[in-house]
Amino acid sequence: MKALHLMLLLGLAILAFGFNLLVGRDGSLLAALMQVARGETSLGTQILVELRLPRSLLGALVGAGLGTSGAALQGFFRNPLADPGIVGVTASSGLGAVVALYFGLTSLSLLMVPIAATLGGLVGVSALLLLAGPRASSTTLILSGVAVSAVASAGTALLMNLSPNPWALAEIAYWLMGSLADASWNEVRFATPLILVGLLILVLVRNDLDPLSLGEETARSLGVNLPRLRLAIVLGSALAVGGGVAVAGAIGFIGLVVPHVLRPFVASRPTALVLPSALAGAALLNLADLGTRLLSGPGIPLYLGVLTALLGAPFFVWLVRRQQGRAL
Amino acid sequence: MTRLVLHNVSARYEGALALEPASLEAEAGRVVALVGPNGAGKSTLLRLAGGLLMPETGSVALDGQPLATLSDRARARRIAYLAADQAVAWSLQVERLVALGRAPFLQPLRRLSERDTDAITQAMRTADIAHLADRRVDTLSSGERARAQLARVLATRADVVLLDEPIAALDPRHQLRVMDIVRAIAKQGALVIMAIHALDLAVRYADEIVVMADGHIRASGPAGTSLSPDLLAEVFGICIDGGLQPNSARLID
Repeated sequence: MKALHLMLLLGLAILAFGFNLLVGRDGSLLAALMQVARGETSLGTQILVELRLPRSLLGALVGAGLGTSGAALQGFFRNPLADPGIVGVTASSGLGAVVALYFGLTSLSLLMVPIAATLGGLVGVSALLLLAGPRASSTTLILSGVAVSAVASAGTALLMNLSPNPWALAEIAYWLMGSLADASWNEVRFATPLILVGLLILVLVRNDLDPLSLGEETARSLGVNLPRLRLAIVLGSALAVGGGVAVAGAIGFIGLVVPHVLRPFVASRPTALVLPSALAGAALLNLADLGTRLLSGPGIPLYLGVLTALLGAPFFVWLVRRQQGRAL
Repeated sequence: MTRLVLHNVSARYEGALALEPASLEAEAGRVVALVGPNGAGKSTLLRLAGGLLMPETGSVALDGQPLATLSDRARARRIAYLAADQAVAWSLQVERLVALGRAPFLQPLRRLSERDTDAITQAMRTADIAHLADRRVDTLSSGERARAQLARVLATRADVVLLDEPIAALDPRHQLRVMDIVRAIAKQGALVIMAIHALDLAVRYADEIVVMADGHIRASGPAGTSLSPDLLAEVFGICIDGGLQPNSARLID
């Protein structure tokens, strides 16, 4: 990707961050921003600093994690249909988080939810690797993802089934729909280190993805350490996705759409796709979150995961159809 | 001087012995052709020679050093490998594909060096694909893609070049061209081991022919002598009137 494109993407990510920070249904918080700059406090500055700022920061981080792991998973599986949601990482992370919520592990430490979500993601990606294998065709990959998702969703449903009271049930259900509405600085503190470490791992191994497009054996002949790469992909995507799921719930399709849109700009190189996908993921998630805030009615919130699924699912259908056309 | 020694190597796939203990020695400047029916163990022997498959028994050594002790990158700089499966997952540009041959030399965060770009340009010229540099690999014919993959192998400038049926997808003219290239890189000091089905080309271009069947090395020796009529009948189940003659086709400019 050309430096100019990267700068444009960075600009877009910053712009989306700024919009999500300042724009709302009741007008902009520009005045509050001025007050913050002057050191004054008001209701506006409190909303800005205590609600919107952590929310937009999380939007950027969670989006970057989803976009990057989408790009890395697609490169690793050599398949444009790989996405944390579709291959079951999101659902497994969700199960991990729900386990932590259900068994009250949060009383030990608030960190337990992100940690459990990451562990869930780890189990999910590992199961996927075992089921699909790295040479999986699109069909095998999707079916394995469906299987992993199904098991994780069944576990989540079981815990909801057994939940002691309707409030706990509702909490889990809303949380699963995906939202940044409850974002506070606490969430930022928990998710940031996990997502950043995940991003770092994926970015560090991205050079191995280009040789891998020639197949595993040829990649090894070109010096790629496959077991290490596999471990890095599993760990990196579990951290980058799990950290996000822990604080924002299940947000699908970002990791599918972002790499696909950027691919023409990097001449289809999987290695070159990783960094731009972080920036574009950050931009897209903040824009989507802004969308949910603007579209939400009074007292009837539109959930972020619902919006991305409504927009992303038709795109997925289109992509599958195009894949079929190619195979024939 | 480069010297590759496979000593009593055997290999197993899913429990079944794919290669009985076999030994092979080759040195720089030589072209060794592996011939034999499908499933004879040629690809397995190449994978063992390239350190891509751990031998069940025996050992492989490059210049006296066991391959297993080399790092992946160090091995990749010295041994280049062209797999029989030449599929490319993404719609990469041909020049990018060839540049992957330099992957073992790339440092993180650094761009291609002048040495890298030289190797890439020259490899594309040698493989006759310079005019395809900007094309996407999925728009190439199978012959063009095979040459692009060959260029990728050449770009590594490795001491040992392992080729698994490099001419299977090529027309007669490009078969000759590729064999000329193979001869040329051997002359420049590389050791080439190639699996090949075209016996007449093997006899014409190789210094040594290794005949394989059913996971065994049945015979090996200079090109003129190792493929006797008896062996042809036994291993391939064919007989050739007048005996096996070297291919005599010539390129017309």
